[in-house]
Amino acid sequence: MAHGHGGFEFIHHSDPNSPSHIKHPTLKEYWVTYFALLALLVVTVALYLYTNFGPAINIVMAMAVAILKAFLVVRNFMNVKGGTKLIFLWAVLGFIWFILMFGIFMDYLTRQWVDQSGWQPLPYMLR
Amino acid sequence: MSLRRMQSATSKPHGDGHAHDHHHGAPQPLSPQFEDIDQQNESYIVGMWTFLVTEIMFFGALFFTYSLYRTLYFDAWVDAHKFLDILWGTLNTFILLTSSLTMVLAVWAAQQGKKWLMISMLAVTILCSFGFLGIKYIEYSAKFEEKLFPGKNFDYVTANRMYKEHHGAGHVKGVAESPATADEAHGDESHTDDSHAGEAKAEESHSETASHGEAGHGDGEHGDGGHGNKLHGKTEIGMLMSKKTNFDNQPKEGFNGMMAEPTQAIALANTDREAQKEAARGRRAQLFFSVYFAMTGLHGVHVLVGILMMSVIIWMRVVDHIAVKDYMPTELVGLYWHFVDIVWIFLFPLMYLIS
Repeated sequence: MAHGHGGFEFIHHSDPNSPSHIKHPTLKEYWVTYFALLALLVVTVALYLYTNFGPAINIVMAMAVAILKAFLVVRNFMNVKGGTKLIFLWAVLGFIWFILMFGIFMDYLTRQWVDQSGWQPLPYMLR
Repeated sequence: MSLRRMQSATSKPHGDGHAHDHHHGAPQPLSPQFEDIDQQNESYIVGMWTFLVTEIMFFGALFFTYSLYRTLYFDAWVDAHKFLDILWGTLNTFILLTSSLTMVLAVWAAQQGKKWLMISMLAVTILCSFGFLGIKYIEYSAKFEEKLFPGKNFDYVTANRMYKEHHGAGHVKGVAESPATADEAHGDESHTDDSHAGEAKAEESHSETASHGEAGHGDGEHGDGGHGNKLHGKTEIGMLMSKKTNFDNQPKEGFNGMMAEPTQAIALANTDREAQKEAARGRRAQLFFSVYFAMTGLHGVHVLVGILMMSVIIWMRVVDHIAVKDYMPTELVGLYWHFVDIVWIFLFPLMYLIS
């Protein structure tokens, strides 16, 4: 099954029973994902143009559509679905870290801005 | 040979070369440090995802910055986003989604060992990227022309006037008739310096304008009547000093003057309050465009890097380099490209669809 070439063995097929075996989506799945993404693009633009539920709901809906799109891309295009548990862990990790960071820095909203010298005219400049 | 290698060698007693797994048509070179090809593939992908995790944090900080200022200055965000053309944004999203599809098709072709299909799919992906960057170029040029690039040339009043001339008044959703356009004859106060001194200057010039009964102050945003450009020079400081405005009694203003909306109007006439408000509006809009250019600019750089990587893959495949007989390099560039796509998926509603 393998032959040498420049110091490498060439493997012609992987072992489906291996714990690290990666399955690949079919062409059909790719196309379905693509059209789902386009439909979601139309949805998000239509929501913006034709509805208004107030700022809070609008952003939640827009982000929900965006997250769904990102989920489809990660799952099908980036093939986390067919990947191993380790790949899944890694893929989810980044987004969890991002959410953590977001939560941790949320308190910026409650902080008072401290003026630094140089940002305002000093009294002697104005007198 | 390790145990796993021996097992996989014995469990698949196919001949050399002609055995075609329906997933993996193309042979993959196995590096000696890996147990088997599955472990190698998994390691490559995990390695790429590790990089992508750092990229998520990289963009994440900018997304956080965006959310913070959007929450604090939501009105300014709504007002400033009207300058972004939703048509271009939608078209760009469509182009990037399509390029993601052609990218997975290229990965699929690489897995099947279809050399020229893979090359042409990558070429289409590159074409899409250039389309994306071309549209970005058109959008950026418009922003430069409208004086919306953050910096000393940022001029929100001019931008609003140009917007009104091109689009008519207030037909964009969520954007009320902006107060700046009503007052657009005074171009000068929109020069939003970062310092408070600049702001004070602007106010003073405004009040000067008011006291002259607005004579000779046309809509030229730089040639301010008879004063000319000297207004920015010593003359103005002289006027400023002669005013003897008691700035010490003014309330503390917030972060870099961004929160400036005077609560006391001790030495300030009503028009000065308006001018101050307007200057604050300009600064907040400038903040929006700072975030806009930082985020879309960084994303654009990623698109450029993607183009570079895809070109390298194409070139290596054309010359039949051993590394790209394996589908993995294409797969990894694909992962990167989809990540760039995801960033845009979030940037698009956040920048273009604020309401």
